[in-house]
Amino acid sequence: MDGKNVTYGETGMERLAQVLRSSGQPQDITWLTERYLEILRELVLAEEQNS
Amino acid sequence: MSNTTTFQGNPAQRALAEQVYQVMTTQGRLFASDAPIRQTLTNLADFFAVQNKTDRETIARDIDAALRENNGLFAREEREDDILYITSRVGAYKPRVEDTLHMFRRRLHEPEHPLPVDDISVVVTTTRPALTTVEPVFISDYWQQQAGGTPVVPALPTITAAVVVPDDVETVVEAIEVAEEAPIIAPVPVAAPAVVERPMLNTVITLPNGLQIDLRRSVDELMAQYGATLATQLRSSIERAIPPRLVVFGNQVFPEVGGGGFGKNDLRRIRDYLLEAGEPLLDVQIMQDIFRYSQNRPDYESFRFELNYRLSREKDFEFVGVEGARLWTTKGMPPIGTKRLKASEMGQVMGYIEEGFDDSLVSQTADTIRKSGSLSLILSFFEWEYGALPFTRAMAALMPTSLLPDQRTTVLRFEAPQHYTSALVELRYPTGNRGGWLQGLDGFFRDYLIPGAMITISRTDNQHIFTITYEEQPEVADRLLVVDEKKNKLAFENVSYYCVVDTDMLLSQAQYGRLRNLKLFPMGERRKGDAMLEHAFETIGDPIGTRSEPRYRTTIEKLLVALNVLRPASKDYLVHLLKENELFVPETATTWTYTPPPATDEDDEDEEDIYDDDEE
Repeated sequence: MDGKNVTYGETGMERLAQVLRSSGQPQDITWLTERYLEILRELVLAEEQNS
Repeated sequence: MSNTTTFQGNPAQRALAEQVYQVMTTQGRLFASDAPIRQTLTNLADFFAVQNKTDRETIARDIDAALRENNGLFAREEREDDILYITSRVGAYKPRVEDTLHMFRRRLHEPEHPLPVDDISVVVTTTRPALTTVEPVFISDYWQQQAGGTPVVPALPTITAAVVVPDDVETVVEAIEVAEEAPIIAPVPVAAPAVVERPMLNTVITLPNGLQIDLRRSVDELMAQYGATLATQLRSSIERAIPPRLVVFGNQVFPEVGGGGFGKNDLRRIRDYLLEAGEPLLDVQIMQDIFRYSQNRPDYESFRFELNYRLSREKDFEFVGVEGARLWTTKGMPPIGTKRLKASEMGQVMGYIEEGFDDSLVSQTADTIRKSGSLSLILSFFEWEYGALPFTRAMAALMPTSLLPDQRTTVLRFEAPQHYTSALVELRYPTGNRGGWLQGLDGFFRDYLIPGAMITISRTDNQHIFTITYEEQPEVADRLLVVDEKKNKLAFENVSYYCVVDTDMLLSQAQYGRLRNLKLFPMGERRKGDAMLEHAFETIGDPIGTRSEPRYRTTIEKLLVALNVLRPASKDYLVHLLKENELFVPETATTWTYTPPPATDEDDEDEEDIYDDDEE
């Protein structure tokens, strides 16, 4: 995905919610931010790995 | 046409071929002269069998044989179940060849002598179409080449193979033999390095606040540099409640639990329990005592989160806890601290802190307080009387911050290890230009301390629990300033105390005897710092004028003590008030004089005669 198409706080939030749900308990906002960055990195860098 | 056409074969075949030709040209007499005229053998056999009254099979064979003899005139095509003959009115059928060598379209687009083209757009019509539809405009390769739009493909050079006839045939043979003996080295094709052009990926994302970060960097790097901003931006996005809904309580996030976690009955039970306890309770206490929720349960933390989140949405409940201790209170709980202080008035009285006159960090830094975990201060009369301490920057360095963004209050517990007692203290956070303060220590102060006592407040391992200590000393008796509640005025009484005091701040009759003349203004009046200072100056100052032209002199230290009887004030705030009013004039660095404005008759009547003996 092109970085221009990423809206921070909207793109990938479904996946973030899944990660949070699968953890089974409330998580700190810092922990969540790290997971969210991982998701965004995957989305943006996946195209580079495929090409 | 038949006149000029000669037919082949024997006489019978020639006659039959001529008849067939006449039938077919009659059939296509309205066709174009060179248009193909087609007929099947079946049809021809049927026709001539009737005409000649002969056997159909026989005539079919005769027709086929006659037309085969004249195959120059009749083209023959064998279909699946029949034979097709094709001819034309002008003889043998020849497919038409379109002559496109001189087409108008070609001449238009590719003229022999074109005009110079500087811009390809001049070739395209600018006529506005009736309908605003975007249609592709054809521009021939010719014009595109003329405009440099497409590269001109150079004509391939004609390779003319020169045929060399060797003069000496033997030499050639020898050469061939040598060539056969020599090892055959196949030319190694030099492959050009494969250049794979990857499109440049845009890995930079822009945050809602405009900050751009490159996702090629590792998560650790990004968090180290922008962690706070990234977390804040994510938090604000979550709080906008865009699906999928995640909910935040404090610093924790969890997917929203749909529907029925806690019903009205559960909330009523929590409220009743809080009222019965009479003080704020921890969330874990509520879980254990009301819901019998054990910490061993796997969903303990999610249930705890849900409880806190739900209570934060209810108007009847108020969060008064900190990060490590989530305390809840409800409407109708007994107030913490004296009832004589109203929050609205206190906020204004303490406003000087937010106005920039907080000098609490002059002698110590906030970092020192944070590291040491304790803060020492000397009690003023106001602080002692009302059990309220200003929420200065020094105090803020020691106290916990609010957990929720709209949290107004935190309830803390102050333990006094010297007396095995404790007190609930309400920490009111500053809002806007209203200052913050702590209240609830009036009982402890009255029981064990006096104004001028030095106290130390220290943190404990629990974020909401503090200790308050003081240095003890043998009993000392003195006449100290107190509030005579029956008469609602200040007076001096004999008091015994056991704490070490700052003697300059000790409000003894010997030192500050004039303070009994201070008027106890309503709290609403006390927020006016300038008016309180004038009154304090008149009371504590030495009279140096005359009865008709009164004038007073005193030091900043005494003024500070006197002003702090009526209201809390820092030294910076006092100096600011002195400098602001022209009636106050500095004599030395620490001594000021005050000339009151001319008094009205009414004032004269009210005023006590301080120029007489004012000290007992």
